[in-house]
Amino acid sequence: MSTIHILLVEDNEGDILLTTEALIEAGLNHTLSVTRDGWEAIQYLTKNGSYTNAIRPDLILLDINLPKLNGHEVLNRVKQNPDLKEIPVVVLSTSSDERDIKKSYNSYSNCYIVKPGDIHTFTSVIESIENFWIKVAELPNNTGNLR
Amino acid sequence: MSVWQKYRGKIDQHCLNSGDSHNNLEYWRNSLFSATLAFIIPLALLALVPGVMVAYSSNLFALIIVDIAAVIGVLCAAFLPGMPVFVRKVLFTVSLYAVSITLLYQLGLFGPGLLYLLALSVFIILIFDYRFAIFSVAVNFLICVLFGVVIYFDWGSSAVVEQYSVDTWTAVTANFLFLNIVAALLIPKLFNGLQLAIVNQENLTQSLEEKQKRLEQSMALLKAKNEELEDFAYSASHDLKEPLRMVKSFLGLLEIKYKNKLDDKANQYIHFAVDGASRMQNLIEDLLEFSRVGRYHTQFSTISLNDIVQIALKNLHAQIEESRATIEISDKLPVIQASENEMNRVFQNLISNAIKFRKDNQNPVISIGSESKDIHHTIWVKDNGIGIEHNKLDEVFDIFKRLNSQEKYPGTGIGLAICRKIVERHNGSIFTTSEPGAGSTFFIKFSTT
Repeated sequence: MSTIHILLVEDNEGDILLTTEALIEAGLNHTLSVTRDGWEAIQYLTKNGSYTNAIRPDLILLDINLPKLNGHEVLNRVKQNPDLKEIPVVVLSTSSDERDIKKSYNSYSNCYIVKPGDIHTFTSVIESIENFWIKVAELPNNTGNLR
Repeated sequence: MSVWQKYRGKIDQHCLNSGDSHNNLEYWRNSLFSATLAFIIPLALLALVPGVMVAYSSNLFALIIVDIAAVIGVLCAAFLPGMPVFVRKVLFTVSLYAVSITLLYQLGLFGPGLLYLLALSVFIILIFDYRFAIFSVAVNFLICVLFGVVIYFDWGSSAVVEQYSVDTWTAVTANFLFLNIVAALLIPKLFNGLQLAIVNQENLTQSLEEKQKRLEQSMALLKAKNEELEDFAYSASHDLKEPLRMVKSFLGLLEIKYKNKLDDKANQYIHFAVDGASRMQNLIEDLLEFSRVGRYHTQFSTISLNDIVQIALKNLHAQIEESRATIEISDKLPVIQASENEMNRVFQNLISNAIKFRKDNQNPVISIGSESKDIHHTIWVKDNGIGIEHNKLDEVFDIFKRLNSQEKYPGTGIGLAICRKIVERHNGSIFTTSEPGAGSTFFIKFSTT
């Protein structure tokens, strides 16, 4: 199985560690890039600044509460960009607020997940995200990442 | 505008001070004066012609001159620009005094002279300040005495001199003066009383308005404070979630990854820490849910509570099956104006509680019914569960209030607090009656209007 690339947009170091561990736990062959604010995420995705050699991700895990540009704004920019809009975006948020959920789906997020408060659930959620979006779902092939 | 309105407007303009409030007695005095002028002028002009003709045929030339002069005086009082109202009033009264005295002199008690004097006195009391009441009596007294003297000395050759003796004159004028004094005393008393009542009323209205205003301010302040508090509860619980999740997650990781490397004591510590964090997480989640009620002003719509109860039963399907609960529902539950989501929540909470707090040895029997009387719908959810101690009946609706052990009846104690918040948001009330060991009934009361 070829390596898949995941972009994690998250400012909380704890969550970054948790997600990293959970991804390893899930045992999938993957590489992970992390950007710690919304602006950096856009720089990464558009290969700007220090990111000219960035690898195009197969999946984006996006937090909502982010500095500079929040998750909703990142989502909007990704989904309005013809080169990026095909990349599945999974919103991972602490908010279970109906309005945040609605807003994310209105901006074409592919999936909204409330971060579980329990480590076992968290691991299994990350596992199922990977399992579904990487193994089950068939995604379009993109130049720059020939699988 | 008609001619009459223009004419009235012109006189009003001269007699009324535009700044005067309508609650001011001065305004009404001037207004009365203005109205008097307006009506007396056409009447005087009409009466002038026959009056002059009769006077002419009776050779009463002085009367003719005084009549005409008085009419001119009244016209001046009404229409001459640039005069203060007081001067107009004086001009008016002087003109009428002249007519009265002339009538009295030329026609004696037979003519309308005395009547004029009495009317004039009342009129002075009404249109001038009350201080002039005594003045009007004094003037009339002087006039009467003067005529008495004229009669006594037989001066001149008018009717008054020729027809009456001093005795007759004194008898008639004493009665006249008596009436005059009574009027001068009583009319100001009446009007003072009225004025006092008006002033009191005005003060009362004013203080009432002030109180109302202060009340509204307090209400607005209270509302703002309340919203602030709710905002605080919401953002506090929202922001607490994140760090707490970290605590719990990493404790969990520690437990998973290092269990074998730690001794039993350390593992026990971790267990209690995880347990504490879990309970805190539940509390925060519930607090968040509680503060979310009514946060995004949901639209009210017309909903049937029978539909709402059916939805609640569907959501509680598993709980109902597991507990073998029997649920009887009246098919005549009312239709109300409410937020559908929130009503779902209320009934789901109540039915769920009725199942949860069942007795060990008995399957739950729950009945849901209603009564509509006067201006209220009352809906109840009755169970045969463990019941509530009488002195705890009010406490059950308090946030995080739990009456039973966490082990046997898990939960944070938010359900009924949310119910109360929702019901009160719908201008309703919720209360309960209970018999410990026999069951509880929860009542919700809504206004039908």
